[in-house]
Amino acid sequence: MDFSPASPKERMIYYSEEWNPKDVPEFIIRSIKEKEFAFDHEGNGYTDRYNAFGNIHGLETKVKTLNPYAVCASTAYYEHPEQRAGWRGAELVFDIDAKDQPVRSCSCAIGSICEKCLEEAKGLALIIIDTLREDFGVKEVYLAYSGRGYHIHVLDKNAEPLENRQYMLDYVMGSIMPMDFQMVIGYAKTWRKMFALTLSKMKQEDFLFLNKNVANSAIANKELIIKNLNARMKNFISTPGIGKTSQDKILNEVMRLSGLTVDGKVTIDTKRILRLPTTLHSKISMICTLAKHPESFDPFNEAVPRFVLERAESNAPK
Amino acid sequence: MVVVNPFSQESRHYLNIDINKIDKSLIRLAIARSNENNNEKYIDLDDDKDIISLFLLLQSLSKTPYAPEVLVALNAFENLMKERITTYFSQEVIDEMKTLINIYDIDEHADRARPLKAIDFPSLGIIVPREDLFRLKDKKRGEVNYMVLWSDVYDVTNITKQYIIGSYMFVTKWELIDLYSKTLKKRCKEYMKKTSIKMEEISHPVYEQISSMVRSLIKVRTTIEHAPGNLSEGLFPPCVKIALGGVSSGQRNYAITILLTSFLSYARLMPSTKIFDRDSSFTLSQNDVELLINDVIPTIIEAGNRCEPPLFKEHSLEKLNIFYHLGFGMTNHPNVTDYGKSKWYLPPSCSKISENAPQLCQPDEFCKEVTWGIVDWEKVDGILKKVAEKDKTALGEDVLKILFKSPKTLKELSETLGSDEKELSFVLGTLTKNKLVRKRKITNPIIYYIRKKRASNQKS
Repeated sequence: MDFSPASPKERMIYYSEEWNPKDVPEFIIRSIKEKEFAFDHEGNGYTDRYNAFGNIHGLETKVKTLNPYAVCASTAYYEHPEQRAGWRGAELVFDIDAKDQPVRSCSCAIGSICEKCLEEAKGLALIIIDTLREDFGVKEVYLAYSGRGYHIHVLDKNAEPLENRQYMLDYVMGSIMPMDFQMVIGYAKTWRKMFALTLSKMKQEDFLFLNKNVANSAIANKELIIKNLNARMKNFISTPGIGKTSQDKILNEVMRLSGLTVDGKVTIDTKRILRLPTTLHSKISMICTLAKHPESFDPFNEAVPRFVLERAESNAPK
Repeated sequence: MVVVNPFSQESRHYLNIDINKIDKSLIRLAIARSNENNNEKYIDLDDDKDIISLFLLLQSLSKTPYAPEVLVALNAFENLMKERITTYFSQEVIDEMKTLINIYDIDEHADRARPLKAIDFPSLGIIVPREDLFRLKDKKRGEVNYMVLWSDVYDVTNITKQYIIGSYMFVTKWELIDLYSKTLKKRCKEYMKKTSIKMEEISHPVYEQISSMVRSLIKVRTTIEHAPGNLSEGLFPPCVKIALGGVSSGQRNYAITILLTSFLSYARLMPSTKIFDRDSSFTLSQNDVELLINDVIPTIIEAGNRCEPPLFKEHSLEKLNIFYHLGFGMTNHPNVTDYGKSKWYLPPSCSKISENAPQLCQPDEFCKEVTWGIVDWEKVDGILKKVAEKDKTALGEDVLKILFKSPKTLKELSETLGSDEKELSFVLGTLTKNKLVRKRKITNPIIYYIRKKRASNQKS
């Protein structure tokens, strides 16, 4: 399929023929009066800010008039969204950008992505969602395909008022050593899952912080280390060829990398704007889509606008 | 029963009083309770006296909610509540605590009939492995008897150090008391912030008397080495030198308002690493505040004017922001009495600078320097006393002796002791494992300045 940028005509076709405001997620519609909306008209950035709508029809009119390059909604709820004043809380969000992953098991160049990258980003998102549900009792959580990765939206009365979200970020990313990683559930389990996920994706070039022989041992023993970790063994990194100092280095580096898998700035910023599900990511001609069934969600089946399929048809040999 | 939640509905009716008819003994009590040394006397207090004096104190101090005396007074309150709840801990007290945070008794909710490996909490919808509870008991050095909702105590604990399942955080009795007292302190802070706007317009002799007495009487728990002196620009880190020279649009606000404002003020008045210690507090004299106004602020403004285009020409409100970051609140003309109306912001860390203003972060050799310093002073002091009685000393002991005087780099240690760096690295590794020394990197521009100043003093 041809994912080159959408032309103004294609944007018009999408918003007039395919986009239905009723498909905008219910969690956005129910709080539409409290949200700020931002528009990027022609791909020059979100210069049109401070938009507020009393209902979905207001948004529909603006979108269908502009056929914008991109649309965002605030994660925050405001008393006066048109002034971004009177902060009442914000969704807890996590932004997983597939192209910015610090470790990837595929061989994509920096800045580019493949299906595997997207699948790995989704895998990470599902782990985060599990943690939020199991540990924090979060009930309402959504996964949205953003175009280059995934956004997690948490709507929870306990999480929305949080102003300092750094601890929450550290927790779900497993970037801090737990008091006892051998515990069966809780943060220890989250930490083990994140550690195993990050380590499993690390390649030779990700072990440059070790000398060559130790790095080779680490690569060769990766599966054993993960197996030991899952078995909650005390010295799980202690495998042939990896001394105590190197074990500490591996531990710290994997935790550091785990902490980089989510764009922390987005989570911490309580006045962030995020791409509005159902709208177009014009740069790559994909639809920002809420995943109804996250485990089986496939962006190449569910987030491709019709005009891209038509491009494929018109380019097909006759 | 004693007051456990001064913010409860029941406590409010004590506050319908006329400030003009307030009893003098209550004013004295409000002043005295700000000092932690008096806590023992106030564990048992009549409800009315307790609540009125507490709110009198909070209202009086809320004009300057970030002033050092506020921190000391709130710490005293937190510790008083800890002592009080510990003394009277009972079901009745727990019920009163529940009016502020959600508390669940493990025994009340656990269905221990479920055999072997897990304990079921059917009413809460969670199942917890018995192994985890054993481990938890061991880690927390005590029985885990209660659960609290994570969101009730999120701001007063580090959740990665807690055991949380299905939104319930498992805690010991002591943790419960600690978290509860900290939550109360947080509520006091929130109350003061809310009240501060109202109090700006109210000027009453009772409030003035309490705030000025508290300010003059409070003994600061840890006094920071207070060494105002001339700034040595040659010792500034590269990021500050770049910011001082003026930067271009895009990084101006960060360079001037965030970095220079905090760096220059602390470098001028408090060049000490203790500023990062949460338990430390400090007071600024009138002279210090005048130094900030007459000396530090003009330097910041000059740097702002050197930016391209000049910062204040485009963003005239940015000056207000600078005064706010220095602790003067939102004002156009800071004066001595404004000090403490907002927080005096600490200099940002090196990682924050490189993240937010990468052009400023151009590390030099000194930035990268790693020094070694003592961690456990008491233990090392004990070791050195024993060493003094011996004729011969080991290399590790020699290292400790040197580091006890001041932190050193590996190279400096090697030059002083005439030992091989490799051998010293091994010794330092062993001392680190034994938690006697640790590696110290420069993580903040103010640390760079302090260390470089110290090194320069030693040389001269």
